[in-house]
Amino acid sequence: MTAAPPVAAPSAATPAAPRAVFDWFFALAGLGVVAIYVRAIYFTPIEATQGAAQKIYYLHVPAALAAYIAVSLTALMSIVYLWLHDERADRLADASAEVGLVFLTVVLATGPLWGHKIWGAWWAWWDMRLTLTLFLWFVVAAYLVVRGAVEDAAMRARFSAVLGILGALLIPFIHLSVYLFQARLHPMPIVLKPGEPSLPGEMLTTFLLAFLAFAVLCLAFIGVRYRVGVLRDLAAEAIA
Amino acid sequence: MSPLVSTAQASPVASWGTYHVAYALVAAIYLWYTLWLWTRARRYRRAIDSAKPSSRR
Repeated sequence: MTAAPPVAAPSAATPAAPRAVFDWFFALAGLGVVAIYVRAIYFTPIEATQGAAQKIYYLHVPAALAAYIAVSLTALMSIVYLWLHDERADRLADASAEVGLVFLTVVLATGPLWGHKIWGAWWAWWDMRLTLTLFLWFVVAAYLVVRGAVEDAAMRARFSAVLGILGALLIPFIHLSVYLFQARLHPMPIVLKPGEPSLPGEMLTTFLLAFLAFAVLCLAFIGVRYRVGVLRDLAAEAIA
Repeated sequence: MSPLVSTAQASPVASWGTYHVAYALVAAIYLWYTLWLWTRARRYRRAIDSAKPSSRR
């Protein structure tokens, strides 16, 4: 007679434990960000009026766009979960939300530093892009708090999916806020706008490469965080 | 072209300190998050390993 297995068998939706959470794609993303630092610091000209502080642009805006990607992926995977009830979609939404919060934190950390030097103010509540970005940070933080607070897996996935979809609805308002509101500190877009970008060639190249590097880093972080989520679920099953 | 996006080397405002702080802060945030992911992965792996039948003897 054999004893009952002490470890619960993984459910069909929980894959095997990944051998390594950090992969070659993450290493490539890290190298890309290092390359962007070198290019922005040493090989991109200093802007005439703002001086060196303008170089914050190459971190601030790509981080904002990467956050949009992550939060949009959270919303998309939340819709997929509500539709198909696939735990992998819920796990990917969870991973994207956490990475989105990291990139939003970068945006909210670099923005006031730049603004204080150029606008003479750390923050202005009446600038809707600032305020709505902070609201998005709170919504994504609430998403993660809900995930930590609800024990029932199906209920946790359903509640957080609704929050994930609602959070992503803020993104178009954040991007279009400079068109919608007259009172603002943020300038009109100089790249993501109808018509030709207003940046000179070298600066535009650095910006586009920085966007590529940050987008790759965002996807690499999501991949790593997804695998950490798999390990977390396997650990929970193992000790249950 | 607007002076906002000019590359001319006219006397720009002294903002080197701000720029250095921002770049260091962003690097610190990414490194901290990478370390946090690694720490969690290690903790979960240990929990899985300690629950295996061989480690319960």
